[in-house]
Amino acid sequence: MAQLKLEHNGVTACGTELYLLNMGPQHPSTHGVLRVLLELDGETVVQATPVMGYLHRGLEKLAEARTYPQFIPYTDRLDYVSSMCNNLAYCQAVEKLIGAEVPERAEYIRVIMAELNRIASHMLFIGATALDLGGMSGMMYTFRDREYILDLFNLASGSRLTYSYVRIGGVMNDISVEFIELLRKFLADLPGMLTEYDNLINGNEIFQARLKGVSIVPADRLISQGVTGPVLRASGIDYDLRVKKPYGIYDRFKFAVPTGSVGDNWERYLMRVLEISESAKIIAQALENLPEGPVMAKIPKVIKPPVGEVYHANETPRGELGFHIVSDGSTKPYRLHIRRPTFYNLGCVNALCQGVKIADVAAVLAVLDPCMGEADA
Amino acid sequence: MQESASLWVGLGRAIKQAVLAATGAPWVAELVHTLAGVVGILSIILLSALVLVYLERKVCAWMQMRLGPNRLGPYGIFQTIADIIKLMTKEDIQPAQVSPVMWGLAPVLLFMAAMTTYAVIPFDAGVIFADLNIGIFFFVAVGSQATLPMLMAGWASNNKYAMVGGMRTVAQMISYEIPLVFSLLGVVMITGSMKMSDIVKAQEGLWFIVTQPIAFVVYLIASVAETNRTPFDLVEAESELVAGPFTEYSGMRWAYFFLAEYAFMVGASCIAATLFLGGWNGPFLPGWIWFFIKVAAMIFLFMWFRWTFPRIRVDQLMSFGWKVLLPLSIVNVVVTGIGLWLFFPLV
Amino acid sequence: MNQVMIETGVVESTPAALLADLQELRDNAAYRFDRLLDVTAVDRGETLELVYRLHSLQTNCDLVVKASVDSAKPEIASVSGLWEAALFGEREVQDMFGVVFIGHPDPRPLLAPEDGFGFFPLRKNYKLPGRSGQAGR
Repeated sequence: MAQLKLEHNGVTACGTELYLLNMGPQHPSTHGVLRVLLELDGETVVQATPVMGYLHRGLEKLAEARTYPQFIPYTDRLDYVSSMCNNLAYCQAVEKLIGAEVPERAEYIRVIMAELNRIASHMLFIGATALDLGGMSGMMYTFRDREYILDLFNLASGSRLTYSYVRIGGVMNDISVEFIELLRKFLADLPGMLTEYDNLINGNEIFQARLKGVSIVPADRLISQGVTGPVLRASGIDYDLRVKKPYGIYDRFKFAVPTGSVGDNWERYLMRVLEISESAKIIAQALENLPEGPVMAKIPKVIKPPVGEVYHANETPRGELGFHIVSDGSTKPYRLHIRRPTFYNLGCVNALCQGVKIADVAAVLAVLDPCMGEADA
Repeated sequence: MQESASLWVGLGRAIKQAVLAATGAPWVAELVHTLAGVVGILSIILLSALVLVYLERKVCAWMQMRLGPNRLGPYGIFQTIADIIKLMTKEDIQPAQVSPVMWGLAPVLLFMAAMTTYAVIPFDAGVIFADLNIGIFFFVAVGSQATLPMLMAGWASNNKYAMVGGMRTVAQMISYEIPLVFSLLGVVMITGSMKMSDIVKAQEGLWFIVTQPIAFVVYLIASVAETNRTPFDLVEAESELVAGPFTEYSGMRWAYFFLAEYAFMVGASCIAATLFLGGWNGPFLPGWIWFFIKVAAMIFLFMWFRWTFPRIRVDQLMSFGWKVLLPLSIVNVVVTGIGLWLFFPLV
Repeated sequence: MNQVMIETGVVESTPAALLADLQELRDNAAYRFDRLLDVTAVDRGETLELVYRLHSLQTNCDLVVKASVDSAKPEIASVSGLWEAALFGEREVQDMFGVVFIGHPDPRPLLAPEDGFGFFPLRKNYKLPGRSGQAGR
């Protein structure tokens, strides 16, 4: 019999022979086409290597062959769960480049849309996490409520998933009175929805036991890995671009940025739940102060920015989404690079997975909330 | 026993007498009587699976604010029949790298183990296939045979997900077998018999759920784990292990596993009804209807668990089984013993 | 290097000095750039311009460090020893531009297939095939 090795890679487990388990790209809990190579010692993970690129469409190259407005629909397909935020980040980057001013009303509408999309994305996250932990019913409830938001988006933009609603210089069209009424109704219903999640999902003993104290990684390791968004904030780093580098009109709103202290999976999960109600606060404030006026600035039909470079980052539900645009003075970007939060967040999969059980890999992937359309660009 | 009141006993006796009159040989009549019992049990299993699959989907849909099957027939009641036709006509796919004999045998063996447990379930007064004097022991012994086919399936599939699932089965079933047995022990101590009919008769006045509440809770949890349903469905663990030992099965072979799972669930519910809920005892209605109602209530409880709880992790499963359930069940046995010694000293 | 601390300042470096410069930016108490947000590159024809986007959580300042390598023989030291984020970022640049990062612990393709694309898609000399399949649009 082979010599028993009780430690692999700093992970102490039963010390049997290591074996390789290929989780994905087609697996019920890998959120799209992520593949994770797991080196296992019994049920304990010794090494987890994410393999990606199955959804690589060469967006950055495509951008070089598209004019600036033509690229907006492509940003929808980055992180297809939070398309509004992607639209917003891209349009603001281009506006920074050409020095365009956006009308007040459009700014407010943008904030409303971005925060609504954050809520929708986090609702999907809560449901998907419950599903990954085996609680089938939770998903139905969060998806039911996400449907409200999708209907709202449908009303405003005519589309339920790929909106292209935010445009360079403003938004596609004004929101209707009906939209505002429905939005107010949604905001009134939201606390009830959250209570329902608390009862069904968050408050469940097993659910908490599955997440609490699992995958604690020192914050400086996550910082070094370039992790952003709620995953980083769960480790106690109070860094939210909306507060630290306010873009658009975010400096006008009062809201709290939830941060964790332990940095386990439970807090990573909780960050999203808490962010929902903070986003609702922002929307309520924006609705209250929504000014009248145009929603589109006078932007030339053909956008020809000056030669230069710009980088603009937004806080999307998953972290810092940045657009780095290099312009050569023509109508098409010379080079467009997207700093995708999911891409860098997946860098910490190994750190989070080492030493946990197979079941927790599903939990880790759930709380990282990756969207492979974004990671693979 | 008021046997004349029971429909099913009369039916069995009528069959026996008819065959005896026709052939004149007592052994033939005995054989036909036994076969009728086997057919009866088989049809109970198949029918209950048929109904339960539909009910499970409807209950699940109800808990998830959906409609559930509603296309085939009124309220979709023919959905399961369509499913069965689909499963039966599916191609029998045998992956190239499996160990054929073991792989093929596993679903059949599992189903056999599930079916055999029904031999000792008393559906009504006198309606029991074999009223053994070690009835409970038989149930536990045969029920735990489910471990081996699962491991066989996991190992023979030559798939790592299946293998991990198979290993989990062994760990889980062995760990939860022990508290299960201990929880049944309390009832046996009070009754002084392992015979099912004696146990049911002992509950004519008071159900054992009143005198043995802890045992009932332990039995409930352990039997959920034994039947591999959420929150203890680590064996299949869809979001981790795809489908565990069943990953490489399709069509009818997979259906056997499915059938066995439901058969075990119904079996566990039947035992709960027999041991803790008074079996066929109940006023007004015939015994078998009472039994049916109690089993249905237990099954609903199982479904309720499944569609509201998330899955527990493997190390939590182990520590819960050994550190909580086992001590609890042992304490129950000790307390029962002291109670018996105090109130009924050496009958 | 000057002590530039403006919002998104740009600092030019050279391939040879890059590692030392970035180490200085990370460890010097005056800068403390504890995060590498992004690594990317821009094809400038003769040279490939590598862009390192740094951020400091302490001072909330951004800094871009640029270093140009020869397009014909693009080689540069890997900074994955300083920030783990470079493990992924550099692999992406490697797939897309063919830059070799010396000292990268795991230089397998990340977004490209296991044996690579066979070309470097984000370089300017790679033309997108048109709708009918011919190169260029």
